[in-house]
Amino acid sequence: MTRPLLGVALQPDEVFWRHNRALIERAELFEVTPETLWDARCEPTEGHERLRRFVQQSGRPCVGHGVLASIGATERPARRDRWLGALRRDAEQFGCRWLSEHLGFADAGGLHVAWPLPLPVTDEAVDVVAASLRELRAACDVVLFENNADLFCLGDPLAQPELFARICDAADAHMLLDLHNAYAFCRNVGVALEAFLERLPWARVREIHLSGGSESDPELLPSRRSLRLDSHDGAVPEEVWAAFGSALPRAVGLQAVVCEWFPDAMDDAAARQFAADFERARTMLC
Amino acid sequence: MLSELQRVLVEALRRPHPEGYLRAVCDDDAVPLTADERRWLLGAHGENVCRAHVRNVRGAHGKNVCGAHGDGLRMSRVLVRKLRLQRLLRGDPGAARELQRDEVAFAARFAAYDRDVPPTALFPADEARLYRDYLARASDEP
Repeated sequence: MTRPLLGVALQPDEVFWRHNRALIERAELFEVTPETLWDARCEPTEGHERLRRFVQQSGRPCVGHGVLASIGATERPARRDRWLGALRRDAEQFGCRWLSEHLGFADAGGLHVAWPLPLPVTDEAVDVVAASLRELRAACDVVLFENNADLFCLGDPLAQPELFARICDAADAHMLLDLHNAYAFCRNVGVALEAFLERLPWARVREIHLSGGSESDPELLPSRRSLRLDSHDGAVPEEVWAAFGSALPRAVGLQAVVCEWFPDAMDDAAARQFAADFERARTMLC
Repeated sequence: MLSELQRVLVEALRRPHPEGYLRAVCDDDAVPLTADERRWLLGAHGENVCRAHVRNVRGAHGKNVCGAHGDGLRMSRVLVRKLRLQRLLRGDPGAARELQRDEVAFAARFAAYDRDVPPTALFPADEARLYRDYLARASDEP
């Protein structure tokens, strides 16, 4: 069996590229987020063409990732057809092996919050997500959904893996398991990470995301509590490395591991840490 | 009804006190939510959540809403507003300059904008248009 490819999430940002050239050269696979390369009409921006050319010339495989398709929204967003058309175009232009989307909903009552919110474990939620993923399949044959670093949960947090499994079955979809999101979610809602992990539909995990995050400012809440945020701006925590170690033998269908770091917090020190995390992941994969 | 649950949650994140709003909604029998959906919105979490965690975070929050749930709702509101601010600053160089020039005045203006204009934009350009329209309306007012 060939080992999963180790990749980097490419950011359309000059700062990201300036600091990570050497790392990008070592990546075996790239992940792009098409919606970050669109204007308000979902048409390609300049950054789109630059990234597309780079991926094409590299000859390395590419996968697509999205955040705001709102696949769990019961009200089909008005933008959905335009969005799917743009994803179809980009899946083809970038040669994406698969497309992934964050689980959850960001649209309701005509409003858009730009942040995928959690779903309860119900037949209706499974049906809504499965229908959206089937639509997404018109853009790319293979579709995945990603678990979120939710800050609260609707119902039992340890039932969420059951939701994932039911969606996989209903939509013949796969999972993008974001291990930092799993760690953050479990911390935020007060369940054990291992208990969450052992309930996952491992046979359906095709991709893993590795990243760090941050603690929220205690001043932001009257309780002065800090929550764990999916901010992609720090070293991968040891708890996430441990989860990665335990995930590798479980995820028998794993094809890619992608390291992420957002450009907003990118500097020399961050780039060194990002490269070190990448190398640690490579060592664990080999 | 999942559609109502989603509408209510998004609406809650526009309120200064999301958990108070949810408590009021869930007390209203006319709102088409199932009994389970009401419990979930109020933070019923099942027996798997560590009791010490619930005890630690319950703190000063009111009855019915588990503290962890209330904190999560409040932080979600913070993040939704932060994302909106980022969209605006990326889409409107004028707003970014306003922020540089007078942070306090800009913060007050943005808070009023966020309160008065429902969030519908996905892209920075759309958020900038909403903001400019809002400022134009505000300047027309006597």
